[in-house]
Amino acid sequence: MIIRTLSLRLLGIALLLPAGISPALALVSNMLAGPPQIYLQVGDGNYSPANGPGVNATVNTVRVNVPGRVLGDGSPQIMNSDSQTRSSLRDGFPICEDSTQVYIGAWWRDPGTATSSATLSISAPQFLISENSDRIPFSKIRWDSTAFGDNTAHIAAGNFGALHSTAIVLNTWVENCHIFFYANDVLVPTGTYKGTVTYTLSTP
Amino acid sequence: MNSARTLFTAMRTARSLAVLVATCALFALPVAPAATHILEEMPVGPAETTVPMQWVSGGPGGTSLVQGSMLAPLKLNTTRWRGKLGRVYMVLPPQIVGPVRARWTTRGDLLPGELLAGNRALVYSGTLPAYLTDTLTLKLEADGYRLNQPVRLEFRFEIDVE
Repeated sequence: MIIRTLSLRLLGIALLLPAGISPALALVSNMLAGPPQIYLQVGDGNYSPANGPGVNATVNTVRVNVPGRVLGDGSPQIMNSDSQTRSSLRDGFPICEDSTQVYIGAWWRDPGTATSSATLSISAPQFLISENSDRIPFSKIRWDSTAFGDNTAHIAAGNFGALHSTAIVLNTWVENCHIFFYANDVLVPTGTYKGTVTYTLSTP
Repeated sequence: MNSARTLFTAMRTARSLAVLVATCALFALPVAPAATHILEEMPVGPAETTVPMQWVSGGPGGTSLVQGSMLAPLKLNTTRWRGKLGRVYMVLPPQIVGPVRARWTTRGDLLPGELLAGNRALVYSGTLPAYLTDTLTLKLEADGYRLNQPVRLEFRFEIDVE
Protein backbone atom coordinates (compact mmCIF):
# COMPACT_ATOMS: atom_id res chain seq x y z
CA MET A 1 0.00 0.00 0.00
CA ILE A 2 1.27 3.38 -0.81
CA ILE A 3 1.23 5.83 2.03
CA ARG A 4 0.89 9.30 0.89
CA THR A 5 3.21 11.49 2.79
CA LEU A 6 1.92 14.83 3.64
CA SER A 7 4.29 17.57 3.05
CA LEU A 8 3.86 21.23 3.27
CA ARG A 9 5.88 23.95 1.80
CA LEU A 10 5.84 27.16 3.71
CA LEU A 11 5.86 30.01 1.35
CA GLY A 12 7.98 32.87 2.37
CA ILE A 13 6.41 36.20 1.75
CA ALA A 14 8.75 38.96 0.79
CA LEU A 15 8.10 42.61 0.27
CA LEU A 16 9.83 43.78 -2.81
CA LEU A 17 10.40 47.45 -3.12
CA PRO A 18 11.45 48.92 -6.43
CA ALA A 19 14.93 50.32 -6.14
CA GLY A 20 15.58 54.06 -6.30
CA ILE A 21 12.26 55.38 -4.96
CA SER A 22 12.47 58.14 -2.35
CA PRO A 23 9.42 59.82 -0.90
CA ALA A 24 8.48 63.05 -2.62
CA LEU A 25 9.15 66.15 -0.54
CA ALA A 26 5.82 67.60 0.44
CA LEU A 27 6.76 71.21 0.94
CA VAL A 28 9.94 73.06 0.04
CA SER A 29 10.61 76.67 0.95
CA ASN A 30 13.67 78.64 -0.07
CA MET A 31 14.09 81.07 2.80
CA LEU A 32 16.05 84.15 1.76
CA ALA A 33 18.27 86.17 4.08
CA GLY A 34 16.91 89.39 5.53
CA PRO A 35 17.79 92.53 3.56
CA PRO A 36 20.84 94.63 4.51
CA GLN A 37 19.68 97.89 6.10
CA ILE A 38 21.34 101.16 6.91
CA TYR A 39 19.94 104.19 8.71
CA LEU A 40 21.26 107.61 9.61
CA GLN A 41 19.32 110.41 11.26
CA VAL A 42 20.71 113.88 11.96
CA GLY A 43 18.15 116.04 13.71
CA ASP A 44 14.63 115.18 12.56
CA GLY A 45 13.93 112.04 10.57
CA ASN A 46 11.42 109.33 9.75
CA TYR A 47 11.70 106.27 11.92
CA SER A 48 9.27 104.31 14.07
CA PRO A 49 9.69 101.02 15.94
CA ALA A 50 6.65 99.63 14.16
CA ASN A 51 7.53 100.63 10.61
CA GLY A 52 11.30 100.84 10.87
CA PRO A 53 13.40 103.35 8.91
CA GLY A 54 11.92 105.80 6.44
CA VAL A 55 13.07 108.69 4.30
CA ASN A 56 13.00 112.30 5.43
CA ALA A 57 14.55 115.13 3.40
CA THR A 58 14.49 117.65 6.24
CA VAL A 59 17.70 119.66 6.66
CA ASN A 60 17.71 121.19 10.12
CA THR A 61 19.35 124.48 10.91
CA VAL A 62 21.78 125.19 13.72
CA ARG A 63 22.27 128.90 14.31
CA VAL A 64 23.55 131.50 16.70
CA ASN A 65 23.13 135.24 16.82
CA VAL A 66 26.31 136.72 18.22
CA PRO A 67 25.56 139.89 20.23
CA GLY A 68 27.59 142.87 19.20
CA ARG A 69 28.91 143.41 22.68
CA VAL A 70 30.74 140.04 22.69
CA LEU A 71 31.60 139.83 19.03
CA GLY A 72 35.08 138.42 18.58
CA ASP A 73 35.93 138.33 22.29
CA GLY A 74 36.70 134.62 22.30
CA SER A 75 33.71 133.55 24.34
CA PRO A 76 32.30 130.40 22.70
CA GLN A 77 28.72 130.85 21.57
CA ILE A 78 26.42 127.86 21.98
CA MET A 79 24.18 127.28 18.97
CA ASN A 80 20.51 126.31 18.80
CA SER A 81 18.77 123.91 16.46
CA ASP A 82 15.25 123.80 15.01
CA SER A 83 15.25 120.00 15.33
CA GLN A 84 12.34 118.57 17.36
CA THR A 85 13.87 115.13 18.02
CA ARG A 86 14.71 114.71 21.68
CA SER A 87 14.22 111.02 22.40
CA SER A 88 16.16 107.91 21.55
CA LEU A 89 14.71 106.13 18.54
CA ARG A 90 15.67 102.87 20.16
CA ASP A 91 13.81 103.08 23.42
CA GLY A 92 12.19 106.50 23.63
CA PHE A 93 14.45 107.76 26.42
CA PRO A 94 14.83 111.56 26.34
CA ILE A 95 18.51 111.74 25.53
CA CYS A 96 18.66 115.22 23.96
CA GLU A 97 17.65 117.72 26.59
CA ASP A 98 16.85 120.87 24.65
CA SER A 99 17.22 122.76 21.40
CA THR A 100 20.98 123.10 21.83
CA GLN A 101 21.35 119.35 21.30
CA VAL A 102 20.95 117.76 17.89
CA TYR A 103 20.07 114.06 17.77
CA ILE A 104 22.49 111.88 15.79
CA GLY A 105 21.63 108.19 15.34
CA ALA A 106 23.19 105.60 13.06
CA TRP A 107 23.01 101.84 12.57
CA TRP A 108 23.33 99.17 9.98
CA ARG A 109 22.56 95.49 9.92
CA ASP A 110 23.47 92.79 7.49
CA PRO A 111 23.36 89.03 7.99
CA GLY A 112 26.67 87.27 8.09
CA THR A 113 29.30 90.02 7.82
CA ALA A 114 30.11 89.69 11.48
CA THR A 115 33.34 91.65 11.75
CA SER A 116 32.56 94.60 9.52
CA SER A 117 31.94 98.23 10.46
CA ALA A 118 30.25 101.02 8.62
CA THR A 119 31.78 104.52 8.66
CA LEU A 120 30.00 107.67 9.78
CA SER A 121 31.74 110.70 8.29
CA ILE A 122 31.18 114.36 9.12
CA SER A 123 32.35 116.90 6.61
CA ALA A 124 31.90 120.60 5.84
CA PRO A 125 33.15 123.08 3.26
CA GLN A 126 36.08 125.26 4.19
CA PHE A 127 34.03 128.38 4.88
CA LEU A 128 30.68 129.72 5.92
CA ILE A 129 29.85 132.51 3.48
CA SER A 130 27.71 135.59 4.05
CA GLU A 131 25.42 137.38 1.62
CA ASN A 132 28.27 139.82 1.11
CA SER A 133 30.69 137.00 0.34
CA ASP A 134 32.52 137.41 3.61
CA ARG A 135 33.84 134.16 5.03
CA ILE A 136 34.29 132.46 8.37
CA PRO A 137 36.31 129.26 8.48
CA PHE A 138 34.13 126.31 9.30
CA SER A 139 36.86 125.20 11.68
CA LYS A 140 35.53 127.92 14.04
CA ILE A 141 32.62 125.63 14.82
CA ARG A 142 33.08 122.60 17.02
CA TRP A 143 30.78 120.15 18.67
CA ASP A 144 30.55 118.15 21.87
CA SER A 145 29.01 114.70 21.87
CA THR A 146 26.89 113.50 24.75
CA ALA A 147 23.48 112.11 25.74
CA PHE A 148 21.37 112.30 28.86
CA GLY A 149 21.91 109.08 30.77
CA ASP A 150 25.04 108.18 28.77
CA ASN A 151 27.58 110.91 28.15
CA THR A 152 29.95 108.65 26.24
CA ALA A 153 30.90 110.14 22.89
CA HIS A 154 29.99 107.16 20.71
CA ILE A 155 30.21 109.59 17.82
CA ALA A 156 33.39 111.49 18.56
CA ALA A 157 33.42 115.20 19.33
CA GLY A 158 35.45 117.51 17.10
CA ASN A 159 35.38 120.55 14.86
CA PHE A 160 34.76 121.06 11.18
CA GLY A 161 38.36 121.81 10.30
CA ALA A 162 38.99 118.21 9.24
CA LEU A 163 37.09 115.15 8.09
CA HIS A 164 35.84 113.13 11.02
CA SER A 165 34.81 109.53 10.96
CA THR A 166 33.43 107.02 13.45
CA ALA A 167 33.19 103.26 13.03
CA ILE A 168 29.67 101.91 13.45
CA VAL A 169 29.89 98.24 14.33
CA LEU A 170 27.56 95.86 12.53
CA ASN A 171 24.17 95.34 14.18
CA THR A 172 24.68 98.09 16.75
CA TRP A 173 22.73 101.31 17.15
CA VAL A 174 24.80 104.37 17.98
CA GLU A 175 23.18 107.54 19.34
CA ASN A 176 24.46 110.84 20.64
CA CYS A 177 23.42 114.46 20.93
CA HIS A 178 25.74 117.02 19.37
CA ILE A 179 26.09 120.47 20.88
CA PHE A 180 27.61 123.06 18.55
CA PHE A 181 29.75 126.04 19.53
CA TYR A 182 30.98 128.95 17.50
CA ALA A 183 34.48 129.95 18.65
CA ASN A 184 33.81 133.69 18.23
CA ASP A 185 37.53 134.43 18.35
CA VAL A 186 37.76 136.67 15.26
CA LEU A 187 36.12 139.91 14.27
CA VAL A 188 34.03 139.46 11.16
CA PRO A 189 31.80 141.83 9.20
CA THR A 190 28.10 141.88 10.03
CA GLY A 191 26.07 139.37 8.10
CA THR A 192 24.49 135.96 8.02
CA TYR A 193 27.06 133.32 7.37
CA LYS A 194 25.80 130.00 6.06
CA GLY A 195 27.20 126.59 5.30
CA THR A 196 26.02 123.01 5.04
CA VAL A 197 27.46 120.15 7.04
CA THR A 198 27.14 116.64 5.63
CA TYR A 199 26.87 113.46 7.68
CA THR A 200 27.44 110.29 5.66
CA LEU A 201 27.06 106.67 6.71
CA SER A 202 28.85 104.21 4.42
CA THR A 203 28.85 100.42 4.61
CA PRO A 204 31.85 98.31 3.59
CA MET B 1 -6.90 -4.22 9.83
CA ASN B 2 -3.55 -3.31 8.68
CA SER B 3 -5.21 -0.93 6.26
CA ALA B 4 -7.27 0.63 9.05
CA ARG B 5 -4.22 1.00 11.29
CA THR B 6 -2.29 2.48 8.50
CA LEU B 7 -5.11 4.88 7.71
CA PHE B 8 -5.40 5.84 11.40
CA THR B 9 -1.68 6.44 11.64
CA ALA B 10 -1.76 8.54 8.53
CA MET B 11 -4.62 10.59 9.93
CA ARG B 12 -2.79 11.12 13.25
CA THR B 13 0.29 12.12 11.35
CA ALA B 14 -1.71 14.51 9.21
CA ARG B 15 -3.31 16.07 12.26
CA SER B 16 0.08 16.39 13.96
CA LEU B 17 1.44 17.97 10.93
CA ALA B 18 -1.53 20.30 10.82
CA VAL B 19 -0.91 21.28 14.43
CA LEU B 20 2.77 21.73 13.72
CA VAL B 21 2.04 23.83 10.67
CA ALA B 22 -0.40 25.98 12.58
CA THR B 23 2.12 26.47 15.35
CA CYS B 24 4.82 27.38 12.87
CA ALA B 25 2.43 29.77 11.21
CA LEU B 26 1.71 31.38 14.52
CA PHE B 27 5.39 31.95 15.16
CA ALA B 28 6.04 33.02 11.58
CA LEU B 29 3.66 35.99 11.77
CA PRO B 30 4.80 38.39 14.50
CA VAL B 31 2.41 41.07 15.76
CA ALA B 32 3.02 44.24 13.72
CA PRO B 33 4.05 47.32 15.83
CA ALA B 34 3.04 50.89 14.93
CA ALA B 35 4.99 51.95 11.88
CA THR B 36 5.98 55.37 10.56
CA HIS B 37 5.82 56.03 6.85
CA ILE B 38 6.67 59.08 4.82
CA LEU B 39 3.72 60.40 2.88
CA GLU B 40 3.78 61.18 -0.77
CA GLU B 41 2.51 64.54 -1.90
CA MET B 42 0.45 64.83 -5.02
CA PRO B 43 1.46 67.82 -7.16
CA VAL B 44 -0.85 70.76 -6.44
CA GLY B 45 1.10 73.97 -6.08
CA PRO B 46 4.60 75.03 -7.12
CA ALA B 47 7.37 72.56 -6.41
CA GLU B 48 9.30 75.14 -4.41
CA THR B 49 8.49 78.59 -3.06
CA THR B 50 10.90 81.43 -2.38
CA VAL B 51 10.17 83.30 0.83
CA PRO B 52 11.66 86.80 1.23
CA MET B 53 12.35 87.42 4.91
CA GLN B 54 11.93 90.78 6.65
CA TRP B 55 13.34 92.03 9.92
CA VAL B 56 10.82 91.91 12.76
CA SER B 57 12.20 94.89 14.68
CA GLY B 58 12.69 98.35 13.23
CA GLY B 59 16.39 98.42 14.00
CA PRO B 60 19.17 96.54 15.77
CA GLY B 61 19.13 96.25 19.52
CA GLY B 62 15.79 94.53 19.61
CA THR B 63 14.99 91.09 18.33
CA SER B 64 17.19 89.74 15.54
CA LEU B 65 14.34 87.71 14.07
CA VAL B 66 13.40 87.81 10.43
CA GLN B 67 10.08 86.48 9.25
CA GLY B 68 8.31 85.66 6.04
CA SER B 69 5.16 83.92 4.92
CA MET B 70 3.84 81.81 2.06
CA LEU B 71 0.84 79.80 0.95
CA ALA B 72 1.33 76.05 0.63
CA PRO B 73 -1.38 74.02 -1.12
CA LEU B 74 -1.07 70.34 -0.21
CA LYS B 75 -2.57 67.01 -1.21
CA LEU B 76 -1.19 64.07 0.73
CA ASN B 77 -1.69 60.55 -0.53
CA THR B 78 -3.06 58.36 2.26
CA THR B 79 -4.81 55.88 -0.05
CA ARG B 80 -2.76 53.02 1.27
CA TRP B 81 -4.23 53.50 4.76
CA ARG B 82 -7.70 54.54 3.83
CA GLY B 83 -10.20 53.67 6.52
CA LYS B 84 -7.55 53.04 9.16
CA LEU B 85 -6.77 55.11 12.21
CA GLY B 86 -3.61 57.12 11.93
CA ARG B 87 -1.76 60.26 12.87
CA VAL B 88 -0.03 62.52 10.39
CA TYR B 89 2.86 64.75 11.37
CA MET B 90 4.64 67.60 9.63
CA VAL B 91 8.42 67.39 10.00
CA LEU B 92 11.21 69.90 9.51
CA PRO B 93 14.80 68.67 9.93
CA PRO B 94 17.33 70.70 11.99
CA GLN B 95 18.81 73.65 10.13
CA ILE B 96 22.39 74.81 9.99
CA VAL B 97 21.33 78.45 10.48
CA GLY B 98 20.00 77.70 13.94
CA PRO B 99 16.43 77.72 15.21
CA VAL B 100 13.81 78.00 12.50
CA ARG B 101 10.20 78.18 13.60
CA ALA B 102 7.24 77.45 11.36
CA ARG B 103 3.68 78.42 12.25
CA TRP B 104 0.68 77.70 10.07
CA THR B 105 -3.04 78.09 9.81
CA THR B 106 -5.18 75.76 7.73
CA ARG B 107 -8.40 75.71 5.75
CA GLY B 108 -9.03 72.04 5.08
CA ASP B 109 -8.23 68.62 6.53
CA LEU B 110 -5.13 69.48 8.56
CA LEU B 111 -4.67 70.97 12.01
CA PRO B 112 -3.02 74.37 12.57
CA GLY B 113 0.12 74.44 14.65
CA GLU B 114 3.77 75.24 14.87
CA LEU B 115 7.05 73.44 15.06
CA LEU B 116 10.71 74.15 15.62
CA ALA B 117 13.17 72.69 13.13
CA GLY B 118 14.32 69.29 14.37
CA ASN B 119 10.86 68.32 15.54
CA ARG B 120 7.50 67.25 14.15
CA ALA B 121 3.98 68.44 14.83
CA LEU B 122 0.65 66.63 14.62
CA VAL B 123 -1.51 67.81 11.73
CA TYR B 124 -4.09 65.03 11.51
CA SER B 125 -5.48 62.34 13.78
CA GLY B 126 -8.31 60.00 13.01
CA THR B 127 -9.70 57.78 10.30
CA LEU B 128 -7.70 58.29 7.14
CA PRO B 129 -9.31 59.20 3.84
CA ALA B 130 -7.70 58.54 0.49
CA TYR B 131 -6.20 62.04 0.43
CA LEU B 132 -5.65 64.86 2.86
CA THR B 133 -5.95 68.26 1.25
CA ASP B 134 -5.38 71.72 2.59
CA THR B 135 -3.76 75.09 1.94
CA LEU B 136 -1.43 76.20 4.70
CA THR B 137 -0.65 79.80 5.43
CA LEU B 138 2.88 79.22 6.61
CA LYS B 139 4.93 81.77 8.56
CA LEU B 140 8.64 81.25 9.03
CA GLU B 141 10.97 82.81 11.61
CA ALA B 142 14.74 82.61 11.85
CA ASP B 143 17.68 84.47 13.37
CA GLY B 144 18.39 87.24 10.89
CA TYR B 145 22.05 87.48 11.87
CA ARG B 146 22.67 83.80 11.18
CA LEU B 147 20.54 83.55 8.05
CA ASN B 148 23.24 84.95 5.77
CA GLN B 149 22.34 82.98 2.65
CA PRO B 150 19.25 81.31 1.22
CA VAL B 151 18.26 78.16 3.07
CA ARG B 152 16.19 75.37 1.56
CA LEU B 153 13.61 74.12 4.05
CA GLU B 154 12.45 70.62 3.17
CA PHE B 155 9.28 69.85 5.04
CA ARG B 156 7.87 66.34 4.86
CA PHE B 157 4.86 64.54 6.24
CA GLU B 158 4.93 61.28 8.18
CA ILE B 159 2.12 58.98 9.11
CA ASP B 160 1.93 56.68 12.12
CA VAL B 161 -0.47 53.76 11.76
CA GLU B 162 -1.09 50.75 13.95
